Amino acid sequence: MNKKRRRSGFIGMLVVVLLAGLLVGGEAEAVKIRWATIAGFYTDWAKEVIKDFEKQNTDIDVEVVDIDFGVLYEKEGIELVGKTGAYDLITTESCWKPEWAHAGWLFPLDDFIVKTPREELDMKDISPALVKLACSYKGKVYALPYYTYTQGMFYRKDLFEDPLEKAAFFKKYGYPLAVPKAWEQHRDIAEFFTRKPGEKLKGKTLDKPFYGVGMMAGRFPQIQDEWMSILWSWGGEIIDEEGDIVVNSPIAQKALLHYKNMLKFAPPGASTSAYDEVVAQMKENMIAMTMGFYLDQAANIIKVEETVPGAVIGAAPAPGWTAYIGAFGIGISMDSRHKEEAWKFLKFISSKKAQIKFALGGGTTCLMSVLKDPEIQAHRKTCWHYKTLAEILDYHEKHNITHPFFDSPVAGKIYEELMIKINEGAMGTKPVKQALDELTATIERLRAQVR
Amino acid sequence: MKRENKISKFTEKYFPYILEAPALIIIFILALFPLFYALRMALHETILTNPGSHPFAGLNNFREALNKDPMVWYSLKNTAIFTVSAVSLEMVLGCAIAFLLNRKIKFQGLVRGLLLLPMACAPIAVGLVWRYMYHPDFGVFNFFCSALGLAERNWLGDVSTAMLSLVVFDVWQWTPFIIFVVLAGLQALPGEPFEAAEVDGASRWQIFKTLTFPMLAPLLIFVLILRTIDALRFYDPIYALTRGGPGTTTETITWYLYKIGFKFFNMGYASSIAFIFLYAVIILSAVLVAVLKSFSLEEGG
Repeated sequence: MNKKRRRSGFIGMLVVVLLAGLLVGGEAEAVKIRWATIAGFYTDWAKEVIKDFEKQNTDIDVEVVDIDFGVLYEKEGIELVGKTGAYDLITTESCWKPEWAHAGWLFPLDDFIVKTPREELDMKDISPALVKLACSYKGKVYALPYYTYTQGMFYRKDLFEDPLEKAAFFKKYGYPLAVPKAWEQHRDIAEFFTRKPGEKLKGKTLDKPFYGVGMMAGRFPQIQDEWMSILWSWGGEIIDEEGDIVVNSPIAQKALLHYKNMLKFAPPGASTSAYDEVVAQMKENMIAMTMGFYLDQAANIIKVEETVPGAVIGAAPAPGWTAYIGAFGIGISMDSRHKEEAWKFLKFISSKKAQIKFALGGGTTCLMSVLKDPEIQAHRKTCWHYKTLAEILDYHEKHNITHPFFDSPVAGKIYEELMIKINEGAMGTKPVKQALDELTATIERLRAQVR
Repeated sequence: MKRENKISKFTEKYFPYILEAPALIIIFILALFPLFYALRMALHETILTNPGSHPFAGLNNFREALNKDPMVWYSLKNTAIFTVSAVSLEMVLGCAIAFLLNRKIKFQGLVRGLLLLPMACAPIAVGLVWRYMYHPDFGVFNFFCSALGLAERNWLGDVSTAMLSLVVFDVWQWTPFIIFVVLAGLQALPGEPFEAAEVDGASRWQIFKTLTFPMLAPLLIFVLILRTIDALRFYDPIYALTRGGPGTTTETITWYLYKIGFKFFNMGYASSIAFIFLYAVIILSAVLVAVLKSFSLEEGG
């Protein structure tokens, strides 16, 4: 009798547990998608946007993996090579996109794009120049631009408009002081504003040195962007339309020599500086302007108006208008096990609503309607550079400016080697011609290895 | 009974191996298997960005590294310069400070605790701090230079000072390791031979030369080899401080290897360079051990 009671009791408990499980455990687990991206203030803000996405899509959790830009290429690359599926969403750079698309690591988005209604994703609103440069390879779209780091230049408007400085500049150079349209003018202005302690700036005596230009000449992946801005404005290329390597052409050597000579108008720390040091130099009242520089740093660099009394910052296209334009894109990894969910997030963060929030938080959008919106441009702290940026992107689209380098399946590797060789030439550790000849040989070797 | 005897003989014979098996399996998985796999990659054209299989390349990668790539030899030279400079300074300073600390001093515990701090810091984190300390525009070193009337330098951006700056950083971080190992060795030395030598009227230098140094030699060999191997693999501070620049002035073999393997994804070539480097390190270690052992045996009598 006891055994029977125990058995019945056990069966009864089992039934209760099963029923409870059915009633309570009816909810499915959220799908987790992982997005590898660059650590920085722009990505911090994107996390706010993600919260909105997750509220609307409770079945999807987005995990952001912050990675320092210096190692982002290899960290993502290793996971893609290993087909681990560790990241569902991959942040791509203009140079990495052709390589990864060629290797078959990125999932083509064209089918997804075609099925998505225009209210959710308006491809025509994304800067066509950026889609072409940063996201397409051989006619297919592999990423949607996340934010753009397109270069213009920043300058101290108050210095450029000071009557004393204008008069002195005209006296010395014979033409008016204005935002430079050519790199030769840029050089003259840099020389003009380079002053020693005891000399005057805007009529006031300096107690520390002041320099004409800030440069990102350190061995970081920014030096080559500064140099390419000069190279392209003079009609030079790294790889020409016929596919020949022309990075050691006379124009390229002239551009590197010009870059090297500009260092004498830059603070001593230029040879070890990246973009953050140049922003710090501007905020510390050390420099009058930048070389071709990332306009997405506008929200940072405007703080000079708080740190330096009387300072007014201005943005303009870099001389020649052909500074480095590009964007970080977000693509879907071919090995992602959640491509549909990844696409849902991707089109959300690319939507106008999300991009406006991103823009007002300090991000630099790629949507032309947001860039050109006067109400958004009026946000002085975060979006004051949008007008200039929109003009630059329109210019590139109008003149169909492209660079064959960005279609090379070894562009990412060339970009890494460019950094080393341009730094060698700029620092004088190798003659300019030798540095560029060695770069040519390396590019030839890299291209020969592609299957 | 017979069967039980057989089982007991079997377990007696193989029991030690059974006990060692887990450790050996871990060593095989974590050390030997990767080594053989790297050798396999070195013998093939293993470029990870190329889809499909990797064709057999024989010794081509090794030939390329030894005969055709000047950067291999240049980075090895940089590695040798850094290692010899940093390790020599660390050994001399470390031993000197250990001798100074080998007595009762005020605040002994505090001093030893403070000395431990550099070693406790992650190289990359503290390297970033040192990068700003070295900065010619914002850095504290140039602040002190100008306060003392000395010329300010572009420590990390000047070819003549970049490598020295890395050496100084490494000496700052790892001299405490030498100090504590040598100090432990000094405190473990027996007292009687030294008392006898003092009674016999030996000078301090004679005591050091004939007793202290030979007795410490095995420990010094150990710490010298450890620091040498560590210095040869120096990477994190280069990432934080110079990224191999200016130009390629501070590009060591590990930095160059990293570029080939993880930027160019040419794992075959990177593996071949790594093997060449491994052989060089093995030979260097053997030479170091032989030289120092012979020295300690001679002096020890």
